Amino acid sequence: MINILCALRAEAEEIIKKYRLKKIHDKPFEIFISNDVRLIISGIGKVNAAGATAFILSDLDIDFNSTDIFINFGICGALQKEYVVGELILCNKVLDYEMRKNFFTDILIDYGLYEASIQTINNLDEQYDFLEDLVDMEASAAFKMASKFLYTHQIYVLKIVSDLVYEKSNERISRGFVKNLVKNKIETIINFVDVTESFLKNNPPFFQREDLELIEEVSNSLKLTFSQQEQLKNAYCFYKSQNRCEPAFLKDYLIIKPENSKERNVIFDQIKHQLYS
Amino acid sequence: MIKSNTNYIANSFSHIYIENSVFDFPITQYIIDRFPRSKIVRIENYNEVFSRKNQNPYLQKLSPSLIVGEKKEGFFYKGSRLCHNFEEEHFYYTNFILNCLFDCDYCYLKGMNLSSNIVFFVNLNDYFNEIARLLNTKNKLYLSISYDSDILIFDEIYPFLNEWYNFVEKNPKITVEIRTKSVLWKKFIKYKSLDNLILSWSLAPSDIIVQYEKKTPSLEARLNAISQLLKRDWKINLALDPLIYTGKPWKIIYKEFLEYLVTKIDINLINSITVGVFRIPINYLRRMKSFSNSPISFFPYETVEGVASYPKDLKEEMLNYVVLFLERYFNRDKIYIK
Repeated sequence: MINILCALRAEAEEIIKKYRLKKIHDKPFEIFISNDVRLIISGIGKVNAAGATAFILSDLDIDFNSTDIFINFGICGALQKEYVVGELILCNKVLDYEMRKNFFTDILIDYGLYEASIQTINNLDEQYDFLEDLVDMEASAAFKMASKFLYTHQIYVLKIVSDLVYEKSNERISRGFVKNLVKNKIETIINFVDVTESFLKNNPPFFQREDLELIEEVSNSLKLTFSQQEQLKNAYCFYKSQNRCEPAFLKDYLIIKPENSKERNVIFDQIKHQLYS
Repeated sequence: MIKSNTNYIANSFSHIYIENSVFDFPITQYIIDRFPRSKIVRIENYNEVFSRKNQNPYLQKLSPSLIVGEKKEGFFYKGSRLCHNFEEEHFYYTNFILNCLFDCDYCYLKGMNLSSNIVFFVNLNDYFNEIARLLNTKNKLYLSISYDSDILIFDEIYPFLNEWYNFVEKNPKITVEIRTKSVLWKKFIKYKSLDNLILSWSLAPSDIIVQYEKKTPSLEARLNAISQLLKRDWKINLALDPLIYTGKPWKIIYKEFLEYLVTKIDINLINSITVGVFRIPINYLRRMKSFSNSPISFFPYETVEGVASYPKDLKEEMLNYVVLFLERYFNRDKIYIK
């Protein structure tokens, strides 16, 4: 599942259109979905971002989330002169300005994107130091919360520069301007998502949900103890790693119902022997 | 900003994280210069990147990042009870590089570290000062400098070998061991062999190298490297460690390997041989299992005093088999068993 968090509706509209997302929620957050993409609009600021991230990720299966992605996408200000309005940037470092805590994505793919660091601040109107390249108001909180659900190579912060803070311009940014910035980069954003998704699908974890389901079915059927179930899992993994396939013969045991624990233990030893040989 | 061109898995060290405190060190700049296309990310402390809890070290192996930092304490450690100590009273190890570019299924680093990213601690002089202080309190010191990494493959980008050579040459009370699977013997041509600098080669049967030691040089290439340095009077140890049980044909595999070994190198010129079966702290093994796809992680080991290894009978059978063979060609007193 692709999970995208935007602070503003204007940041999200092109993405909603491109993926043909349907609105399913209005409160506490607006949520739009398709089969494999979900987008949540958090509102501005760290608290909103953390809340919306937890809300959208809360139904992920943490044990089997290898193809899930979280992206905080939106506009940001540039703190350093080398950044220009309209550029799409992948953030390789996210600083929570008030907490002085850094977060890092594992960027394992060569996306061909510009990269930069970003600092997330509480209040745009107060004075703050320019410690990083970019500034926003959500990334660090979204990243921190997403880290409770996903690995570091599944969490991304993608930003488009909307204003040059180093020029101290106080010009208000219109909704149309933001929509246009996103529209100009929408194909790159979609490509980013596709490449990431493809990378994750091509590098699946060794132990899959189907493996666990089969182990649980066999364990329930044979009434294995907790310790036996753990041993079965290890033996199953040994077989699968050795033979590069699932032990299909395990399904034969689903119809066997041991009469008592002694019989169960004999059958269990037989299974282990088969798996380890 | 650097913009790259292709859309696929990033090169190793596509990202270099550098602690602010070492950013201006000449050695750091040297390292940066080796990777002109890499993205440089400044950090406060290497643990910010290296010790994050939710990393996937197996995927990171596809494109490891480099972290450059400063070691602030713990410049050396007492050798682990799981290591060969060569009956040395003062046996220590040090780690100025963490992690490895090789990808061995049995490597304890996969269970010990939260990350597969590579760390260079670039304040080597602090290591030398601290080790010199330790030397003042000991008559003799045996120091392994490559337990937490195969360091030789990094010398091109972080030139440490010359520094260590000079340190060892000036300090006869210390014996330094560099353990490797690499074949970079040419690095040593410009140096005179030293009695207190030992090069130790990890060797395994070709079948095991192919199956479980991904990205490492072949057995033949390793033996050639050893031969070249034996000719130049270098002190060489062999580490037949870990021995890996490969099911029933294990004896055939090890017999062929040992026979090949004694025909390819003049074994009498070897300084010592260590032999040990696969063994690992149980907590490291548990962590390895969460990501591993290797049968080595899932073998039904026995755990004794927190260490998982082969069942006693199998362990003894494997060790005896290898040691008995070696004894026919090599002085038993210089074979160390674990």
